[in-house]
Amino acid sequence: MTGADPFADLLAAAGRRDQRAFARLYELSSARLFGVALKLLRRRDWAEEVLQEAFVSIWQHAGDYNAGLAAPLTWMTAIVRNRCLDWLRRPKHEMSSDDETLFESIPDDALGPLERLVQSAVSKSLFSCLQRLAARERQTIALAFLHGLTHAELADHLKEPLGTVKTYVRRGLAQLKDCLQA
Amino acid sequence: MNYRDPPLRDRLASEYALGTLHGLSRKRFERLLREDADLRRSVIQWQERLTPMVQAVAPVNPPQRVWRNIEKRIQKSTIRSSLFESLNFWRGLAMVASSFAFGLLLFFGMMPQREAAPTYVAILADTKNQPAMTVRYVQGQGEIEVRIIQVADLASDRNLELWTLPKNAAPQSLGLVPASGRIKWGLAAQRAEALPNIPALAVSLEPIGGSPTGAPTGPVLYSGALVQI
Repeated sequence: MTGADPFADLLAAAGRRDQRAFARLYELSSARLFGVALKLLRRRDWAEEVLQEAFVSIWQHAGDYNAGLAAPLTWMTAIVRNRCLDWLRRPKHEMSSDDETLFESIPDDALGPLERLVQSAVSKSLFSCLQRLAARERQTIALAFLHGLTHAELADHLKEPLGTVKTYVRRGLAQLKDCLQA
Repeated sequence: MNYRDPPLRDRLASEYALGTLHGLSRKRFERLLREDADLRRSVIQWQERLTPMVQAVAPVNPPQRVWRNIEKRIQKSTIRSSLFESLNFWRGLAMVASSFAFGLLLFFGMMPQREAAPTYVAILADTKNQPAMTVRYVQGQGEIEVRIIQVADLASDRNLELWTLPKNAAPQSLGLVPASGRIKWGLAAQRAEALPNIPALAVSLEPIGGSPTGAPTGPVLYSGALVQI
């Protein structure tokens, strides 16, 4: 599906137990995925552990990866994000809602400088659609996806009622889908 | 909740991909995902929509130790999984039917790895699937080891010669093997480097001293795939 995607070939080779290809795959993608894990977990040691687990799992499942379903980087990012979310939501790591320090590092505009974003046609359309959302909806979606905030944490962070935040998320996602399909 | 309602399914898929589905709802949804291919597709579509957002995150190089740990873990898992693959391989080709040979594969598979270097193993069997010898090569050591299990009686003017069977090239001699016991010899660096890419090995019956032509001249008595364990 993604003929020009350098990750696709490497992932396929890793599926055939080619350790050199897997090392190259790590070289090309680990900084990006580590960035994602750091942003979600906000702790280096946790992010290192999750990245390690995620790549072992990528190695183990590379053979099952179905190129027709998801782009390689989407697949790998989903593995990292799922591990981060599992990690964040383990009871012992549950953030108490009054732990303000954890939120200090989250900027109001969770998307950060836009210049970095305009790299591919796909991301261009996602970001132009995100820009079209109302500010609160864009914020909830970015905070949830990039920072792993739960509905309750979003409500806390934005100082809005839980039900309102849930509506932002739901509406934001629906509008995003419409905009991307347009 | 009615999980058959399309708008609800799409909404759950979107919140799962976003990460806002938690606790019991997330677990329940993951259980559904396992048996519902259509729902999995919805999740993947949502992941494709949302994942470009990670380009807003600055890349950070992880420390070296992360890769070192991954490498250690995957080498362990490779030993196990390639053992499994090699078992399937052998089963598939019906090269080795005897449980003895499987036992040998297990033995090779379970051997403690003193260093992380990949090890290659072949069990050479005759046309009736009777294993005749094992060949083992540890990358980096530059030595090949042959253990004879049982070979046919040899005329006194005949030797057994071991060959690599490269994919798109003529067989190349690795050396002569005895009729019993075990033997170990060093490989030239060039030959050693090529070995991991060799799919199979074979043994032919040759005049004393080996093939006079550099190519197998007698019948191929034993052959087997070379697999990494």
